[in-house]
Amino acid sequence: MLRNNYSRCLKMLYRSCTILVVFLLSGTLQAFAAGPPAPSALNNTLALTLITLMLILLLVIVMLGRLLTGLADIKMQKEKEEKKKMQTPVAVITGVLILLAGTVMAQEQPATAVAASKTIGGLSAFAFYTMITVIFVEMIVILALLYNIRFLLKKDSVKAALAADASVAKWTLRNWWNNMNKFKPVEQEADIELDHEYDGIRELDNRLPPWWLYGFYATIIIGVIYFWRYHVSYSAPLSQEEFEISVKKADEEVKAYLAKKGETVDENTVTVSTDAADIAEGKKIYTTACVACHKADGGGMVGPNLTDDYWKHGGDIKSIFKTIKYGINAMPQWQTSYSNKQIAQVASYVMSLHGTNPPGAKAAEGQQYKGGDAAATTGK
Amino acid sequence: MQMEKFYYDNKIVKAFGYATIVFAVVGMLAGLWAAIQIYAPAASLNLAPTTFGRLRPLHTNAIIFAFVGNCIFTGVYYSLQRLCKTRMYSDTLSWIHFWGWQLIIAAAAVTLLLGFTTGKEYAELEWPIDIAITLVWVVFGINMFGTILKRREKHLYVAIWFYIATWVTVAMLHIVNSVEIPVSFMKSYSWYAGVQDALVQWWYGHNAVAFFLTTPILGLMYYFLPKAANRPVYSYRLSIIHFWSLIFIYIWAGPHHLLYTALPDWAQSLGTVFSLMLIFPSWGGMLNGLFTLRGVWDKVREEPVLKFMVVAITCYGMATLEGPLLSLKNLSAIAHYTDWIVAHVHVGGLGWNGFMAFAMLYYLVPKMWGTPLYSKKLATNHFWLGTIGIILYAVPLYWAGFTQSLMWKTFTPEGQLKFQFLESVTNIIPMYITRSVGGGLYLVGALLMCYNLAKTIAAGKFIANEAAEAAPLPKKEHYGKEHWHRWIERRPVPLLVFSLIVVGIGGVVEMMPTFLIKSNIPTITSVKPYTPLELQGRDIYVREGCYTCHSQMIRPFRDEVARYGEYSKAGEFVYDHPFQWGSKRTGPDLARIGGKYPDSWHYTHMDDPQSMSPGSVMPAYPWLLDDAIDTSSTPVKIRAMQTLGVPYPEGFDGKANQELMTQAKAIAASLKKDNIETPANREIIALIAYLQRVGKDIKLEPKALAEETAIK
Repeated sequence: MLRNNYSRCLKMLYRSCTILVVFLLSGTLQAFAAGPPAPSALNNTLALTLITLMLILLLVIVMLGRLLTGLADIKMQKEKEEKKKMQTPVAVITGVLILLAGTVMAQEQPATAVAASKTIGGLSAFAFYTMITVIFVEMIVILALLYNIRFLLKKDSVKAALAADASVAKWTLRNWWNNMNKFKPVEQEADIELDHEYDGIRELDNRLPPWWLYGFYATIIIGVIYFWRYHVSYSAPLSQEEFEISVKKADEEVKAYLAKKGETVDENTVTVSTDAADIAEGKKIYTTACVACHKADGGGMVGPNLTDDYWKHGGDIKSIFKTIKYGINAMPQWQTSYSNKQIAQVASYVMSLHGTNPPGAKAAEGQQYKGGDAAATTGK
Repeated sequence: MQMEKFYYDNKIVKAFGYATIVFAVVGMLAGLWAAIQIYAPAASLNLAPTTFGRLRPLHTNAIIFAFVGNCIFTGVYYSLQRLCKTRMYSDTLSWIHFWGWQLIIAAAAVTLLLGFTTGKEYAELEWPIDIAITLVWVVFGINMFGTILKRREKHLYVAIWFYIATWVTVAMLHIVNSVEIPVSFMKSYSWYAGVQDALVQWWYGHNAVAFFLTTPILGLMYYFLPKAANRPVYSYRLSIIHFWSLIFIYIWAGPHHLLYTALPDWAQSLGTVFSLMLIFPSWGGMLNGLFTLRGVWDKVREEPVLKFMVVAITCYGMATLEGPLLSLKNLSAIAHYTDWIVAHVHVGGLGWNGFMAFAMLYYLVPKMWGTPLYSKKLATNHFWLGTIGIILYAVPLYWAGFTQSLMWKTFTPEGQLKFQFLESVTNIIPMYITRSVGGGLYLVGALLMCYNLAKTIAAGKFIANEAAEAAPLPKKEHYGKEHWHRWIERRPVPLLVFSLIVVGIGGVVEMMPTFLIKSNIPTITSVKPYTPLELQGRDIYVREGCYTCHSQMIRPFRDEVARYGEYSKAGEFVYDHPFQWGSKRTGPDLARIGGKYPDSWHYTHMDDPQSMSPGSVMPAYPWLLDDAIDTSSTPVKIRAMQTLGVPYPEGFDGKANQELMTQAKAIAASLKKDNIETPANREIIALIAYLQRVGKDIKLEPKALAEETAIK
C-alpha cells in the first residue's frame, strides 16, 4: 500500500513537472525569441503584465488539473475499476496540454509574417499576439477543465464520496491548510510510517507539501530567468550601467528643479549677506561642518584662523565661496554636501566672524586682506 | 540474536554542556558590552583590549565557536551514541577534543583582545590557532567516524547526515579560507588579495553561518524535537530533498554579501540567484520540524523545551526567508552596511541558535541527572524574557537600519546630500539603546536558566555511564525493495565523499574564474604597492579592527559617489592582503579617505574623536600616540609580501626601514606645522600614512589626472 501510494505520488509529480516545464518553456522562449526587441521586452510594463497573466493562468490550470485528477481518482476508486483505466484521464490531460503547448509554438510561424512592421504598446506585434494567443489558449484549457470537473461532480459516485468526506465539503481555514499541505489525518498515519526507528525516533513518509515543492520549482525558474536577463540577454542593467542611468536621471531632475526655481547664485554672482536668517543658517552649517578644523569661534586649529585679516586663498566673499565649494589642499570640497545658497550663507557667516579676536586663536597665515575693496582682491 | 550490553558516555556530554552554558554567558556579556559602546564610547575605558574593534570579534567568535560550537558538540556526543547504539569510538579522543577546543577558545579570547587578528570576519584567529583548530577538528572527525563505523544500527538517521556534511564542509571552508603566510608568531597575511580575498572570505563567512550555525543545529533538531515531542518525524522524503538541496545550494550564496562591490557582476548574480533558490530547501527543515508537532500542540503549551524549539524553528524560517530577500540587489542596496543586517543575524543567532541550545539543555540535564527540571515556571519565564528580548533587539535595529539607509540616500532637490554621515548615526542612538536593553533581557533569561539547571543538578544524581543494549549488526543482510536513498544511508564513507563533492561544486565554479581569468580584475597601472610605513600603518588598522565599523568599498550609487568619491574598482585592491572592505558602516566609508583631511586632523581625531566630530561614537585610540612602530618586523613583512607577488624591487627589505623613517619624518614635520609635536616613530604616524594613501592611487590615472588639472 505504502509503496503503491508513493510511486503514484511520484508519477503525478513527474507529470505535473512536465506540464509546468513545457508551458514555461513555451512562455519564456517566446519572450526571448522575438528577435531584437526581446531584450527590452522584459522592461516593458505590458509585456510583464502579459507574462504575469500567463503564469497566473498556468497556475490555475495546474491547480484545476490536480483537482480534476483527484476527483477522477475518487470516481475510479468508488467504481472499483481497473487500475489501468485510472490513469487515462491524467494522461489525456497531459497529452492535451502538451498538444496545446505545441499548437502555440506552431502558431508562431504564421504570426511572424504579420509582425515585421507594427509595434503594440512597445512590443513587436509578433510578441504581443503570441502572448495573447497563449493567454487565450490557457483560458480555453481552463474552461475545458471546469467542464470536466463539473461533469465529474455530477456523477453520483463522486457526490456520495464527497458527502461522506466532511473535510472536502466545508471550507474552513483548517481544511484549507490541510489541503495546502496535503496532510494525512493523524489517525491514518500508520499507513505512511516507515518500518524503522532510531533510538525510538520513528519516521513518517508524508508527501511533500505541494506549495513547498512548486515554490521550490518557481525559485529555480526565477533564478534562471534572472541570470538570463543579466548575463545572457543583457536586458537588465549591470551595476555600472545602473549607476550611470541613475546619475543621468538625477542630474536632469536637479537641472529642471533649479531652472524652475531660478537659483542663480554661484561664485561669480555671490554677495555678502547680512540678513539675520542667512547668518543663522550659515552658523548652523558652520557648527556641523566647519568647527572640527576651524573651531566654534573661528579661531582655527587644524585649519587657519578665520577671524583675522590674513587669508590663504583670498578673503573676499567670492574667494571664500570658491574655497568652500571646491576645497583646496587640506580643505575638503563641500559642493556635494551643500547647495550654492547654503555655501553663500556659510561664507557670509564666516565674514561676520571677522575681528572677533577669540582667545587662543591660531597665528596668522597667508596674505593680508583688507576689506572693502572686495572686487580688487583675488586671493589666488 | 544475542543482545550486547554497553554504556553511553554522559560525562563528555556533561563537560561540553557546562562549556556551552559558560560561553553563552561570556559571549553575551561581550556582545552587550560592545552594544553599549556604540552609544557610550567611553565604555571602551580608553583601553586597547576593550575597544569595539577588538571586542566585537571576541563577541562573534565567542558566540559562534565557543557557545554554539560547544552546543553542537554537546548534542552530537549525546545523540550520535544513541543513534548508532554504541559508546563513542574513543574516550581519549573525546577528551582531547574537549580540552583542545576549550584551549582554542581561551587562546582566541586572549589573542583577540591583544589585537592579534587576520582581519577577516569570523576567521580572525591567527595562524597557530588556525592549525590547532584543524587538528582538533580532525580529532573530532576521527572520533565521530569511528563511532559511526562501529555502530549497531545499519542505517544512518537524518541527523547524522547533517553531522557528516557539517564536518566535511567546515573542514573545507576553514582550510581554504585560512591559507595565509606567517610573518611572525602571531601575524600572518592572507594568501589572497582584494577581490579574490573578499570572494573566499564571504564564501567562508556565509557558509560558516550555513554549516556551523545551521546544518548541525538542524541535525540536533532532528534528534531532540521528535524525542521531546514523542512524535514521528513528519516526512522522510522531505528530509532527503531538503538535506541535499540545502547543502548543494548554500555554498553558492556567499557573493550576496558583496552585491554592488567590485566583485565581477556574474559572481554577484550567482550569489543572488542561489540565495533565492535557498528559500525552500531551508524551509524544508522548518516544515519538517513544525509538522512533526502535529497532534501535540497542546504539549507545546506546557513543555518549555517544545516552546523554545517552536520559536527557534520559527525564527529559523523567518531568517531564511529574509536572507534570500536581502540578497536581491534592490533590497541589498538599502540594507547592506546598516544595522538591518545586524538585526537579521540576531534573529538567527538569538532565536534559532540560542533557543535551540536552551531547549537542548533543558531536555538533557533532567535526563542525565535522572530528575525532573527544578522549575518549569522559571523555564517559562526564561522563554518569555528571551522572546521579548529578541523582539526588543531586532525591531529597533530594523528601524535604525532603514532610517539610516534612507538618510544616506536622501538628496535635496538642489542635488546635494541632505544629511552628514554623523547625523545618520546620532539619529539612531535611541534605537541602539533599546537594542541593548533587549540584549540585556535575553542575558537575564540565560542567567535564570543557569540557576534553574544548577538547582536541577543539585537535586539529581549524575548518570556518568548510561546502560543500554542492542543486537550487533548481522554480517550479511538482504535488503528487499526499498527507497533508493537507503543505499547511501548504510554507507557513511560514500555519504561523506558525496557530500564533499556536492558542497565543493559551488565554490569551484565561483572561485576558479575569479582567480584565473584576468578580465575579472582589470589592472589599474597607477595602483602601486604600499610604502613600508603605510604597510605598518595598515597592519595597525587591521589590529585595531577598524573594519568592524568602517567599510572600504564605495558602491556605484549616486549618494555614495557624492559622499565618498568615485566608486571602488576591482584593480585598486590587488595589493590588499587581507582585503578590508568591511561589512558594516557604523562610521563612514574610508575607501577614499586619503587626502581628505590634513595629517593633524587624523592625529587629533585618533586621540579624541569627539573633538573633531562632535557627537561621534568612535572610541579614542590614545595609545597610538605613545607606542612606537615595531620596525624590526618591516623586512620580514616586505619579504612576505614579495612571496605573495607584491612587486617590491629586489633587496627592498634591507632598505625598507630607511624609507619608512624618511616618510615618517615628513609626516611629523607636517604635524609640527599645525603645532603638534611628536616623535616620528609613533604608531599614529604609520596609521596616518596609511589613511592618507587609501584610495588615492586611482586618481593618478592619466585620465583622472587630466580632469583634476582641469578643475584647478
